[in-house]
Amino acid sequence: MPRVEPDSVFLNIPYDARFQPLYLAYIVGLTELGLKPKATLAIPGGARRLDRIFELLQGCRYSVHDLSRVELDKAPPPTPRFNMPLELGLAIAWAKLNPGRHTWFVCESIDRRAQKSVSDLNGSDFNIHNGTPEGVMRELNNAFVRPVYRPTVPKMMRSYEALKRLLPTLKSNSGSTSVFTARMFADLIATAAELRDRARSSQE
Amino acid sequence: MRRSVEITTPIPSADEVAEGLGISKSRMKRLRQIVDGTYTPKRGNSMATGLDGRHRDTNGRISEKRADTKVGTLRAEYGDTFLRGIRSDAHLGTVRKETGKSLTQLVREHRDEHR
Repeated sequence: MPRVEPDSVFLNIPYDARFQPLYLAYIVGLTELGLKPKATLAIPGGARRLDRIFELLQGCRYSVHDLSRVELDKAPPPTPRFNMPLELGLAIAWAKLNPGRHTWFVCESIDRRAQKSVSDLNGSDFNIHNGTPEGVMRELNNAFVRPVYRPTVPKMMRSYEALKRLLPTLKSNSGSTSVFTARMFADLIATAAELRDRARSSQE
Repeated sequence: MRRSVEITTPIPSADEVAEGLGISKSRMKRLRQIVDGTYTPKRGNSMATGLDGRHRDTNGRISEKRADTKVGTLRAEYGDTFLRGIRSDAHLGTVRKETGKSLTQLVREHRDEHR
């Protein structure tokens, strides 16, 4: 059985330009809370991709599944995105089979839509972020509670705005045109941690 | 009542986060410069897309990665499965010597394998 990192969070989100603000918000929010976001960006395509995704999930104590992109993809043929629900299914099964080893959360932008799109989960709690970075921070803060250090949403938003301002330079530094690459994901997390540490030390 | 979990693990410092991500000290230093606003990109096309963060030498060749670059650092660039089976603290120079292949060849093979 893979070793579980107690503070790691499997981030199950869509990788598209429209999702970029929420992608940054998840990175900043989780990092502000002292958690380690993990994503499938470094996993190459191919026959074993699903195995590797499952391995990554098994190594994470928590997972956050964002189902806010359930709309049909405009590119022909119009297709719904099934990857996020598929990975949510893996997480639910893993948590059921291994109680106490994994906890999952489902985020949505529209209240009650998930009850319709995945009605088998009726009775479960959903975190509704309203499609805004501020909403993501609020829901992460509600889901993950630190008894000693608990950042406020305005403080998390200041870090988010700071990271957003640095984005063009970070992209140029890594030679990336997209934020959805393994290198950019790592750089964004490390930079968010640096911003958090500086803000914390200035408060002390 | 919304579900929530209590997190009791210590908050890792930025350096610990960077280390966990396989980010080298020099790369973290550059990220700090970006936060400070003191980072200035190198002249020319040094950070162009496709060069994997390397630069072109004056003769147009893409610069070679240093032999003491660790495999863990390369994985941050090329993915967690790059050079699978080799320790993350192994040096690129050792891998080159043992396989008889350049980094470019190893990356190409890795990409072909996962295409």
